Amino acid sequence: MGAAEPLIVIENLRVEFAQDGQRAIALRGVDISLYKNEVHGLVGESGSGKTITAMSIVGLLPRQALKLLSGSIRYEGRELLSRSEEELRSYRGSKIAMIFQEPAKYLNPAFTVGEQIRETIREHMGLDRSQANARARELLALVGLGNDGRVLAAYPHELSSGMKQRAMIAIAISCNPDFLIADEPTTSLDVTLQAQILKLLRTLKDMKKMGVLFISHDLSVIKEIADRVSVIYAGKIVESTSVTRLFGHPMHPYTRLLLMSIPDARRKGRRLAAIAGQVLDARADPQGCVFAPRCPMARDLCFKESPTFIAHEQDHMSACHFAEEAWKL
Amino acid sequence: MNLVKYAAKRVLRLIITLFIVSTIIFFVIRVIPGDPALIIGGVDAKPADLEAIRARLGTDRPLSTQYAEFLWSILHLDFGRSMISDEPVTSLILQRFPLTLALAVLGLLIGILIAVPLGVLSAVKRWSGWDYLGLVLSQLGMAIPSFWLGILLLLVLAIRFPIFPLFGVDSGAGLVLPALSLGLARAAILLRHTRASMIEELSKEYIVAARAKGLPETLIRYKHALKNALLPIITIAGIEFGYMLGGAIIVEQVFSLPGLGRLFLYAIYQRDFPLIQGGVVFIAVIFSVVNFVADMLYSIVNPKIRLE
Ligand SMILES: Nc1ncnc2c1ncn2[C@@H]1O[C@H](COP(=O)(O)OP(=O)(O)OP(=O)(O)O)[C@@H](O)[C@H]1O
Ligand SMILES: [Mg+2]
Repeated sequence: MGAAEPLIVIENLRVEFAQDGQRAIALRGVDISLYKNEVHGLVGESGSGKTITAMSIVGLLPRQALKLLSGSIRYEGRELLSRSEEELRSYRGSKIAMIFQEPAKYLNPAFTVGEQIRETIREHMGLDRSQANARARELLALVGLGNDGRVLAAYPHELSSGMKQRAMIAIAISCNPDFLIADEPTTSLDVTLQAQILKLLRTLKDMKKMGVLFISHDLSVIKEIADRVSVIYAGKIVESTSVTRLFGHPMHPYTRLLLMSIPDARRKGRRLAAIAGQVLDARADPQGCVFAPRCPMARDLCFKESPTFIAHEQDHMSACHFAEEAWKL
Repeated sequence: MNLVKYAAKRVLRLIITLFIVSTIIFFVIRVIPGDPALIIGGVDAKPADLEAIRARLGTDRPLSTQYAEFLWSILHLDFGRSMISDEPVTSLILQRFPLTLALAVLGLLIGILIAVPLGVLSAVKRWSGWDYLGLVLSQLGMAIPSFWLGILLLLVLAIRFPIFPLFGVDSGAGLVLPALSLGLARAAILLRHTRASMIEELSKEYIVAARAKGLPETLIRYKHALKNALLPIITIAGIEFGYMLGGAIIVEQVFSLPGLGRLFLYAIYQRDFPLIQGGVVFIAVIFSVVNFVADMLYSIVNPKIRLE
């Protein structure tokens, strides 16, 4: 971890939407480095820009946003943002794959699971139908759906939600991608299934040495699966470090407050500490820190100047003027 | 096995429907004013002659007797004879049916061939020239009455430029204009549904997933979205087809075609009770069969529907 070159580097990514003549800022400077064979957790509240970040990487932003995109996303050192749609398409599914929150909606109800795996394999690997079929069978076995061909011939509605998510994972890893983006893949599942899917993702990552961007709003899930975590607030990465450091030594006040709001066995019965104040309006473009209006330790500087996202300690980035003090909160 | 059970269930439902429908029509045509004897005998027929005609037709007996007899003969698939021409109702209907069937098939075909490609194109290229063309066509198709369109087609393509015959169906060419005026109206309805359905499917999450898999846009549109978008179209097309099989009165009148629509229309004018009854039963059966076939097609395309 850390020593190798990152596979994907996102730098100062800014995404704006033009909405009814007004602009809404979805991302205001996202910086993330993603490595192979590492699970990178991306955690933040609803609307903080997690999905938009993911969609930017695969070049699938909604049309209204495309013109207002700046910054850089490099894959193995090559810029993705300037690529043509056709070039991006050859990355999608083959080098960078994706799984989503609600497998029931993201699987096509009119085609069998087998067909949905096969078409991906045939598109990217150039195998013929029977080769693709054999591979699809192996993949289903790999994700724990058996190899008797039953799931292969099944339609999505015939599967339970856990099985659907496994099927979606089989599609995603079908072309041996270097990188997997998982956008809240366990949010719609119950706790037992969630644990199983997390374990499966972990196993597959170890086996295939894939990099994973694991998106969640749930810090306890992130703690379970991620090696490294980035915390996003109002479209900006405010802190990024290893899981152990983040949970043991948070440097951004927002992270600190988030950690305090995790339900914890020891603090059972105590009210969760909700973070006071409102999330930054998408139309606002403050010159200071995005979190300042809600920050309990904000000072004058915080409203005047936007803190840079820099390493305060080794392998520990934070965007806070007073990062060193934050953990004393 | 499953299918047999399903079919049996549908047949049972059809029988119940037929019973209800034929009972209603039996009483309705006898309650509304109009006596077949008067129509046959003419307005200045003597009362004694009218009595004789009624006795021959059997309309002088009590309603309950007539009804029991009617049910009994239906059970034997016997719909009686026309009161006017004395021909068996069944053969009257079967004589007219091929023409109506041909018209309906052609009409539906024209409708689908125009509506589905244009509807899909409208949805895929929204607010493009294709989309406006589709919108204009569907507005026109719904606003223009089919008798007007029929007359217009005749004026232009049979009289001004005599490409198609003015009357009759001695050659297949005679069917083209009536089928066009039927089909264009169907196209208007199907086009709107196809466009809406396709737009809806293209906004679904599985489309995002298909893009994330790196599939080409054409495959995403014409495989992933289209298959789902066609589902409701099958049902709507089935219903339209069922209607057309009952005869297209207006188009048959304009083009002087001996189809079911005119047969039933005159049966009603002339209070030809057995023919009206037979016609209604026939339409109900046809409608059920078409619905059944549409459901079967639907279940082939839509894996979610298991025939139960
Ligand atoms: N199509 C769109 N048009 C306009 N604004 C959008 C669009 N999609 C997203 N946004 C805005 O971009 C911001 C980030 O959205 P995003 O979907 O990335 O949030 P998220 O972190 O994934 O949230 P969640 O946890 O709810 O999935 C939000 O403020 C949202 O309102
Ligand atoms: Mg999201």
